[in-house]
This record gives sequence, structure tokens and C-alpha cells, in this order.
Amino acid sequence: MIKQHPTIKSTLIAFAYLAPMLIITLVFNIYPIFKSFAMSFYTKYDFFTDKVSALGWANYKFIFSDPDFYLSVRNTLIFVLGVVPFSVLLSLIIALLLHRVRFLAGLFKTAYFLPFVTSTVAISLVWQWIYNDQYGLLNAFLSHFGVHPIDWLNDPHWAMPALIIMTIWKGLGFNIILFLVGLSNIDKRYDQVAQIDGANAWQRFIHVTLPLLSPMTFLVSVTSVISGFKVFDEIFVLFGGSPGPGKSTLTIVFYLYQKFYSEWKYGIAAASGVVLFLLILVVTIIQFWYSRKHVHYA
Amino acid sequence: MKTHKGLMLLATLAAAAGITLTALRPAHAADTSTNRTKITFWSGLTGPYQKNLNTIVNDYNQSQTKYQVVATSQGDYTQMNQKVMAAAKSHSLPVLGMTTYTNLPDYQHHGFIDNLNPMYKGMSSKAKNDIYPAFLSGSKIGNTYYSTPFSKSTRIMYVNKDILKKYHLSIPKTWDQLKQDGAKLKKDGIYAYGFDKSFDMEWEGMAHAAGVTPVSSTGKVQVANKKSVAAANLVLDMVKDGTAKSAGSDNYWTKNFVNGKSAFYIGSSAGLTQTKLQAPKTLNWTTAPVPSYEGKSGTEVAGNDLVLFKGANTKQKRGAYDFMKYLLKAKTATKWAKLTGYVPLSKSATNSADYQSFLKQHPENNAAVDSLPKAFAQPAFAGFGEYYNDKGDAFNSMLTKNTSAKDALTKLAKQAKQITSAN
Repeated sequence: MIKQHPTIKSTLIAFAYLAPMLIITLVFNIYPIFKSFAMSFYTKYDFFTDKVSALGWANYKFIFSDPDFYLSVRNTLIFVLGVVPFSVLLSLIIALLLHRVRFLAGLFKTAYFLPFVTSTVAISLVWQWIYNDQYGLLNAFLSHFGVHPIDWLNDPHWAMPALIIMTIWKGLGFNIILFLVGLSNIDKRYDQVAQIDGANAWQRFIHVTLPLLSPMTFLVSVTSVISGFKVFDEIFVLFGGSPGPGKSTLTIVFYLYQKFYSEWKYGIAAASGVVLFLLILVVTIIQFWYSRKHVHYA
Repeated sequence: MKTHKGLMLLATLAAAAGITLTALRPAHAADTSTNRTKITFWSGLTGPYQKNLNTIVNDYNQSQTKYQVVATSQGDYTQMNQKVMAAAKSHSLPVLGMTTYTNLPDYQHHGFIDNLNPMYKGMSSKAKNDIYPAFLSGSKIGNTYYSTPFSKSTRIMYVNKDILKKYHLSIPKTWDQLKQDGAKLKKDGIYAYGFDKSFDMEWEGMAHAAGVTPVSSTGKVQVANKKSVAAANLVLDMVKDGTAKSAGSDNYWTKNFVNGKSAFYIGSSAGLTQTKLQAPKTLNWTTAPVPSYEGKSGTEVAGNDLVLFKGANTKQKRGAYDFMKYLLKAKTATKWAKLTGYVPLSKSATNSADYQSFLKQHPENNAAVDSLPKAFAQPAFAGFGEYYNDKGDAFNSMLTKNTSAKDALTKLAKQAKQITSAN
């Protein structure tokens, strides 16, 4: 059966089996990608009648001369740089602890995973309370160390750190689970051999665990970077529908949202989406290029 | 045995499908009379507000035989706007919809809605004059009607009577008095004036009192004129002085007000419901009209209107007009105002015995109603959504980045000019 040569009939049957998924992907993924790419060139467009009267580069010219767009790119990069390294590092440490220390590991796994499955809206509302400058839990905690109350959500200097902290906390669970899967896939014999050779725990971690875990670290980094670039929900709820005090958390997706839904500038919104796509593409290509040298697939 | 299992499975599936369909069927579709023209109506209300709307819709449906209004909640106003845009694209807009006053000009500019001049022409001049002028002017873009007022609110001042008593203060009638009260309360860490995330509506109110319209319907921009800057500076000086405070990310000052953080809070009359819910029983509070500025009052109205989306057929249009007129009737407007706490839409609704007895039982609703005759609506212009964002940024910048009123408003004026000339 397996060695059977492909025929027109068997290919058609294969397509028939694949059709539901292909249709869904084409309609909801592929078509919108091409449509938004095309829309980014619409300079005169009637959204209601779908009539395009003029095409051009004006939307790109607009965003590249708009200080708000540059601000949104800057804020997005700060957010990604703030979230990804800490999130990867923290989840790796916690996963290692959960992997080694079995006591109550199940309970902790559930506790860490809960934020991931809870709605962003509910989480953000709770964090709004935690961050409140007058009644907030965080300021109450910090006051024990003599820290003056910080207006986390209304001070332009603190809004981004507040957003980063909440996002790291929210994403930990998923990354931990991925790392745990990675850790359990590592053959224990590598560790045992290294132990026989006299390697201490740290050496075993650096030279055995970490390289063998690198495919998972790579996966976690790539997915974290991509979701970091697309951040929106957290900001929308945490800052009550605004891009933070003094636009301090205006990210590219928030910029896109504002242009599309409240300013009715479809072309500009689409153009900013294309730029976001290219940014993610470039960063992911860099990550893949780096992974060729440093990721070891056992 | 196999057939038996198959039958069981079929029966279970049929029952499940039946239950699902019953659950999905809107409550108002219970009426099976198929001859009636269906008027689909999307609202941006949820929870008790939608329940109250359903009561009004059911009253209407039972009152006549020609039309049947089918109201469905589309989530909050943000979600509703997103769904309207998606429906416009797929040409599946409902007949009627609710919209915030901020979206109205853009709906019109992008051809989503039909003008309502035929409906207003069908109204007697007595009925039309009965509607408060601020609501009527808010329903117009230029000289054409595009909406009918529905769930409307106005700005009012919430007053903490306990603080007044303790500090021997009276309710301020002017902004200057409010400022003076601040000096007396400051030493004990109590703000005189608490406001929502932004004070832009109070700024517009003060500008209106000073005879300035920040952006007129014809595109004349006076955002950064001397009087506009002075009005913004009045509040900013109070903020710097520690006598006024923004709710910031809380969005509304209500929580701070009920916790005694300020003696006065100027906010929407739509917040009365929340204030009643959140205020502890021990708190003595009331409401008053917004203080006057330069000897004149300037209370802005806000809220939601009803619009007729494009694509409705003649029968549906007639039905929509009929339903809109029904909502504007004194009896309906009174019932809606009593159920929700929104202000009555017409003078006859306010003066009705029913609403007057409601006011006696709920004296805190008086301030909003008293403010209505002299209230005003911001003129609408194409690109309002963009201006609204820029205005939010300008006031946010004054409050969080200490940008001076002059700089922030000059930038806003420039943006407003660009918007009005581009549209």
C-alpha cells in the first residue's frame, strides 16, 4: 500500500480528505493575508461598497512619517526585549525545579498553568487592582521595604514595566510545560554518563541538559517573540482601552487597532500590519539563523 | 441491538439539537406571527440594561400588529462597533442599531447609515419641539438628521454631604468656588474635584460657557484659543496644587468618590446607578448641576442614539421609524428613564406625573434633569473618531507627562485642522 504510486485518483482522494482543513485555512488565513497586503496599498477606498478608487504607497509614507508609529515600534521592541528573556529564563528555572523536586510538583504545575488558561480580561482586571497606587497589593508589599507608592498604571515611566511583569506571569505556565516536556525527553543516560565522568551538577546542566534542551528553548523563544510582537489584549484591558499613560504602551497592534476601528483608516492599519509581519519575519529569520549554530537536535 | 443503539443515538442528537436551537432563539421571537415585518435591532447594552431594553421592546411588539422588533445585544459599545464594521463589509447590517455619539459622524461619512429626515418630517412640530434641543442637535450632521436620541446622559456634580458638613462648605455654584473649597480640604488630603480619566468634557463645557466651540461642524478650529487654554489651565492648576485628581486607569472616579477621597466629583449622570450600588449606606451624598464658568453654565450631553443602517427595505424603514417614534413618546421615554437612570428625552416625559413622582423618590436624579434645558451637544464632523483619539492623547499628556495646556492644545488644534481638511 505504502509503495503504491500516486495516481490522479489517489491524489484526488487525498485532497478530499484534506479539503476541510484546506478550505478553512484558505478562507480564514491565506485570503486575509493577501487581502490585507493588498489593502495596505488602497489609498482611496470605500469600505462599505468595497470599491477601490486609487492605489499607491501613501499609507506606507504616512506611517513612516508618523511619530506615533515609530513610538509603537519602539514600545513593541522594548516589550519583547523585556518579556522574552525573563520569561524564558524564569520558566526554565521553574521547570528545572519542578523536574527535580517532585514534592507537590503537580500542584505547582497547575498553579503555574492556571494564568495561561484564564481569560486575559479577568487577569488584567485582577492586576489592575494589584497595581492600584492607593489600594494595590504590590504597593502594600513594597511599602514593607520602604518603597514609596508607585503609580504603576498612571505614570508613563512605570506603565511598561507593569505590563511586562503581568505578561511574564501570564505566559510562564505554558513555557514551563514546554520545558518540562523537553526535560522529560532527555535521555537520563547522558546525565548518568557525565556523572560517572565526574561532572558536577552545574557542569552537567551546562554541558548536557542545556544543549539537549536547546530545541525546546528555541521553540519557546520563537513563540514568545511572536506573541510579544502581537501584544494587544493585555494593554487594552489593563489601561482601560487606552494605550497607557502618555502612550507609553502604544504597541504596533494597538496602533493598528486605533487606525482601523476608531479612525477608519483601513489602508494605514493594513500597512502597519504588513510592517509588523515583516518585523516578525526578520526577527524569526535571525532566530533560525542563530539556531543553526546553537541548537542541537539529538 | 445495533438498530436500537442507532435509534438512541439519533434521539439523543435530535434532543440536543432541539435544546440548542431553543437556547439560541431570541426571547422576542416567541411570537410566531409571520406576517409582521421584522426589524432587527442591535444594541451595545449588556446585563440589566439589555433586560430593560427587552422590556421596552416587548411593550412595543405587543402594542401593534405590523412590525416586530428583534433586539439582540452585541456586547459593549466597542464590540458592537467592531461587529457593525464587519457586518457593513459583509452587507449583513441590521435595520436598527445603537451607536455612541462619537461614532455617528463616521458612520455617516462612510455611508453606513441612512438619513432620518423622512422620520422627523413625519413628526408633528409639537412632538419635535418637545425633545430637548441638545439631543436634537446631537442627532444632526449639518442640517440632516441621522439619529434619534435614546440612552442619554449629561454631566452632573456628585456631592459628598458628610465632607461639606465637616468643613462647613456649601455646594459650589462656580468653578472659582470649587477651587477655593480645594484650599480648605487640601490640608487633610481630600480633593475638592475628582474627575474621570480625563476632564475633556468639563473643558468643553467651560469652553462652551465662554462662547467657544473647539471644533465646529463647519470645521472651524478653536481648540487652542486663549479661552480654551485658560479653561484647561484652571483644572490643571488644581491638579498641580493637589486639589483635583484624575481617576487615571480606574477610568471613573466613582470608587474614589464613595470612599470619601473628594468632596465633589463631576461625571456622567449615567454613573448614578454605579454610585448608588457602590456607596456605603453610611455615606450621605447628593448631586448638583455642574458649576458655572464665566457666569454661564455649560453642561455637555453624551450617550447613545439609534441609527437606521443602509440596506433596509421600505417596509423595514417604516417599521424602524415607527419604533423610533414610539421610543420618543413621553410614556416610553419616562419608562426607559426610570428603568435605567438615563435622562428623559423630552420635556413632557420629565414633566409627567410618573417621572415627577420618581424624582421625589430619587432626588439625586434631579441635577441631570435640571441641567437639560441649557445643555449642549458637541457638533459632529467627519473624522470625529480620530479627533476623539487625539483629544484623549492631548489630555492624557497634560495629566501624565505634565505637557502644558498651551502646547497640548496647540498640537491638538493642528491635528483637528488636518482632520477637518482631509475629510
